[in-house]
Amino acid sequence: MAETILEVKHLRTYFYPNGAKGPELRAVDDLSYEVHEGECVAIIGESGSGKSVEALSILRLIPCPPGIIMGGEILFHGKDLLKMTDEEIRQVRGSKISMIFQEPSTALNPVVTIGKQICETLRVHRGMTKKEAMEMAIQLLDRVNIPNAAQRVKQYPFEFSGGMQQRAMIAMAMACNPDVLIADEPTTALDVTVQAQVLEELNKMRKETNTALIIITHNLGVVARYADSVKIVYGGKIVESGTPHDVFEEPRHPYTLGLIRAVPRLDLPKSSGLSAIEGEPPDMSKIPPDCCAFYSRCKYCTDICKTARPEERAVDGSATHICACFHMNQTQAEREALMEINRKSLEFSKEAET
Amino acid sequence: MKKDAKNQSNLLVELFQKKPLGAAGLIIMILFLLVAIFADVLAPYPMQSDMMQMDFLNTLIKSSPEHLLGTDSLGQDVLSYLIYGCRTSVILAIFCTVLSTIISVAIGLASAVLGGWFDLIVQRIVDGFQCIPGVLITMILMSIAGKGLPQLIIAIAIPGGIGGARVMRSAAFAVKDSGYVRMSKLLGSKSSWRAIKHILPNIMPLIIINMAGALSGVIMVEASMNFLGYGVKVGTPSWGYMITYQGRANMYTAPWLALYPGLCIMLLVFASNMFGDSVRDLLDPRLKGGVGSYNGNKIASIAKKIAAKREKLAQKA
Repeated sequence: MAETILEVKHLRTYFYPNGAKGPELRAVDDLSYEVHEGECVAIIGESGSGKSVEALSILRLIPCPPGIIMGGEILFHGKDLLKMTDEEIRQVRGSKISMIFQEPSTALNPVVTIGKQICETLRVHRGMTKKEAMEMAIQLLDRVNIPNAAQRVKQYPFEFSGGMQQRAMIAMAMACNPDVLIADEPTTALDVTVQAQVLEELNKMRKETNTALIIITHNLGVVARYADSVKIVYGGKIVESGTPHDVFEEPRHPYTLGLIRAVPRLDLPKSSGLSAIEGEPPDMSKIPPDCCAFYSRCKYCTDICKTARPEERAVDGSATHICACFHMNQTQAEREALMEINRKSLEFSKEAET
Repeated sequence: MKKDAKNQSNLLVELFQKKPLGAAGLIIMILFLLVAIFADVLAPYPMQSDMMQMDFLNTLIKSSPEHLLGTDSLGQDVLSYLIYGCRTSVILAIFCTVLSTIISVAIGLASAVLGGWFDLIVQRIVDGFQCIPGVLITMILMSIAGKGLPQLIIAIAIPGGIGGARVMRSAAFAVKDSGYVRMSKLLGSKSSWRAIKHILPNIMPLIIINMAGALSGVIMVEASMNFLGYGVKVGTPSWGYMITYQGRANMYTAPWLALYPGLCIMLLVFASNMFGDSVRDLLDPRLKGGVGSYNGNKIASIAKKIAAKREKLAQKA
């Protein structure tokens, strides 16, 4: 196994939207995971599950107030990012740990040329002159497959298409060869064909530079293809994690099952309809700390779910698969039904091909 | 977004195409600027060793071939005096506008970027200044610093700059939380870098608008300060000074002494106002269709007429 470069331990990020005396909102609650060198980790969860907050916490970019990192450790090469001074963390941002946002059009300055924006990281961290940085920027744009890079650096963001903007962002984020790249929903704002290109680009860059990639997404297809490890986040906690095979082929947690079932499918008859997880994402400020965050929407819920918090436990017979649910051994019937559908659709599509 | 980048390069072209009044304002201002630069050449009686030429034998005469706009009670040629007064006004307008813009941008940016207690304290001081009329602050500063052009420039620029700081602050605040500033932050830039490289270029249209708008105000304040006797030194020609000390005293015997400098002030203020308005309309699309643009109703009525004609032709056919 490659060296562990980033280790998040029991991270807790809370928000106090109405001041210190108001209700606390536990956006990230006791979240732990590890990232190894060159690994691709996918963090999946629905809107408001705390996945973006978790990413921002790593770089200490949580606006304070109202947010505050209450506890935990984020070890990067063994050093705790949360204990660093502002100047030290500034040196880490962009050069060691980098990040790209979901909306490339808002994350690029409309009145500054693309080239200058890529130069920024190089000039801030490497102390390059304008000329050196610009040459490097051209190379970087070339690496993310933007044709005519030498001319393109002089253009403004509005002259780029959405996919090219996102690729320029990748070039910006990768300029200093960071050890970890966090991609916060990198493909959400793009259409499907461009999504594949951008992801391919990210994956290529990852392999070339041996950068660890953390993809935050709610797109299961993205994950299944690229990730080495998958974490399903619900209510600020990891509910299930493992390899893509563990999570998608043998899901244990009722929430994961619901997620997989909710993916719309073109290959099933219309009459089967779209399935959804019943209920709404919980109001994070109203969940008591000692319970499973999913209990109100879960059909396996029993009294223990409302009074105790499920620990992360290894799934029987697997070294990588971890699940946090009291009833994870009771979901077998549902899992098999789901896999049955998958098998049928596979047969269906094979038939369609022949 | 698309507009911003394009507008700045083609601003001049658009000004002439879409805002004829603004373009006229710009031309008038350029004329005044040229007059100010070439005052020594243009004036029929140029200054000698920093003094206007006086002709005590020909005081308060009406316009004549020798003195096109007449003379004042000291026998100074009014036309020459106005030309040199123009120089004072133009110098003042340029320096005051630039200085006050620098002050307001510096305060506004620092306030927005640093935030926290710094923002709180600075903004309360700005609020405090806003409670006192600008002219009063200028008068106080002038009575401390004494008469003179540099003092006047500073005394006018300070209240103007402080007043504009709030606009700059709110504009910078709007940009501060945008995606690209956050992106820059997470790529590890310093706050000063973000302020200059990201926020400043994005509030540039507003800065230009503010500068153009401040021009006319500065000219008015200069005239009124000279009128109130807190202006430039006695020997320096100034329109406001002429209105007070020559025009008012000789209102009945020589009304032109108040009339001509008054007209000059009016013309320059009008020109800079028109220019400022047009620039604002062009740079801020939300305010489009202001003073001096082609009338939408007019275009609509012409379009209707053409449509009616076509219908008639169609009926005939």
